[in-house]
Amino acid sequence: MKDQKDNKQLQQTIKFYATLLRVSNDGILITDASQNIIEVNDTFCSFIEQNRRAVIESNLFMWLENFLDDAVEKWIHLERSVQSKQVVSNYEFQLSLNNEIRYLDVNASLLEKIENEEQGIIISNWHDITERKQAEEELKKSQVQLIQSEKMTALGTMVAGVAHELINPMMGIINFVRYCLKNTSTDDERFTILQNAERETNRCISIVDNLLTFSHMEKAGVGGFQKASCAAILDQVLKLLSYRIEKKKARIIKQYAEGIPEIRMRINSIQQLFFNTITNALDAIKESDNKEIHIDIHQEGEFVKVIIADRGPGITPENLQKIFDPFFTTKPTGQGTGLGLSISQGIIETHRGRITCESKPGLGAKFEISLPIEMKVKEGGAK
Amino acid sequence: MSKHILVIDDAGVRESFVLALKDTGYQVDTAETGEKGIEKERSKRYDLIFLDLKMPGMSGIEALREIRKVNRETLIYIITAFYKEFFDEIKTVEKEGLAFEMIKKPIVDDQIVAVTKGVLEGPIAL
Repeated sequence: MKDQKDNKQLQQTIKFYATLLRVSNDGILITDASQNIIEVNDTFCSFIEQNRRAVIESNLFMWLENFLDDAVEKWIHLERSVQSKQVVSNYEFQLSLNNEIRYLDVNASLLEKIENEEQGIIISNWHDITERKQAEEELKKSQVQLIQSEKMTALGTMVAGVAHELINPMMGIINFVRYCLKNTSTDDERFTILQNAERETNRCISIVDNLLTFSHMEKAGVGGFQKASCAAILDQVLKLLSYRIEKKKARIIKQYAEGIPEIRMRINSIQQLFFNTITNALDAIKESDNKEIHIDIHQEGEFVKVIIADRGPGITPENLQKIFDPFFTTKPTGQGTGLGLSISQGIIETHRGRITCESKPGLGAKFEISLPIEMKVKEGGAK
Repeated sequence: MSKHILVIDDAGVRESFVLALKDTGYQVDTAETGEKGIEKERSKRYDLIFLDLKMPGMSGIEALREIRKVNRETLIYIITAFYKEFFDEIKTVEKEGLAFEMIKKPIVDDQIVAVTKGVLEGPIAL
């Protein structure tokens, strides 16, 4: 009687685990010390596009040979590792399926040897992380793009600044040379030399003029405006900064109002703007106890207002006047260019918006960015 | 009576004007900042003031406003490297009805003389 009851229970247990195996979205594989496949679920079979009959009792290496990136080597390494550690995780395998690379994250355990059982039986769980991988790739690409774009804008601003500074001295020099030419006899050997000086100085002026025209073309907006949501872009930027946010143990508190209309913008520029502002907040909370960063979006009349506030050390009144100046920074030399806010301001101007900063020492800083919803954009330079 | 000209800008620019206008008979004074320029305008009425937009301390636009408070008749010429930057500020000032002319830097001696004479004497064939 007891035997029957035990048997029934056993059957039920087997049924339970068999179902578990079958319904799992992960591939589940049981292999022995010679890599023979003792048990396998349908999900794993679907990874290698085989039916169960072909896979059961076959050798795992036969299938791994069709994987990418030295899968056999990896499995051997996994086996060695699991022998000593009992449980291993995060082994990444790649295979080509339907013209797409799928990434599989594998955990494995060594089955405990009981009595006369074989030793070396490994149960492995194969989890498809392809989508996560693709998202990470996209993120990385955007990040690189953003950094590149930020670099280019910083460079552009610096170049424009330098070019601007050269105009006055150049004007002085060309006029000094011309005055000397007017008062030098053409017989004088210095006459030709002065003419050369005039020629070269004109060249310099030309170069400076070109640089300024180029940098103003950038600012005046050669193309690229489209409608987008500030909230969406903020979220993108937060995602980009997620590692930094975690590292600094920052707490992001979002308050996005509902129904904020999309606004016309250069998406890369606005991304940069938010990126700069949030990065500043992250830097500010470095030493503070309160690591909250508040991000608020709401509509005020014809503007969308984005407020980014931190409870860091705040800004002194003297510095507050200078924060938007190019190259102004309170960071030690080598950290940051001091161009972030001046670039941000440039971006805001291009979008006909406004940026203000409210801050008191000890009470943190609050940046308010207003962007017009309807914008008459002067594309291609003002007249 | 000779005409009085004031140039408010950097050293290189100030000296360019002085040299260019040397033999014209005009009296040329210079100032390196907006504030100093306004002081000079208060003590002496100028017929023509050349003024940069980007200056240390008081900006060109502010200086323009202050000068206009003292004297509505002085001819004011803004000399600037790239006026598009200040387009909005300039629009505001225009709306306030403050008259001025603009010329783009750099300019050389012949142009300086032509502009100055043109403004002070009326159109002249050079």
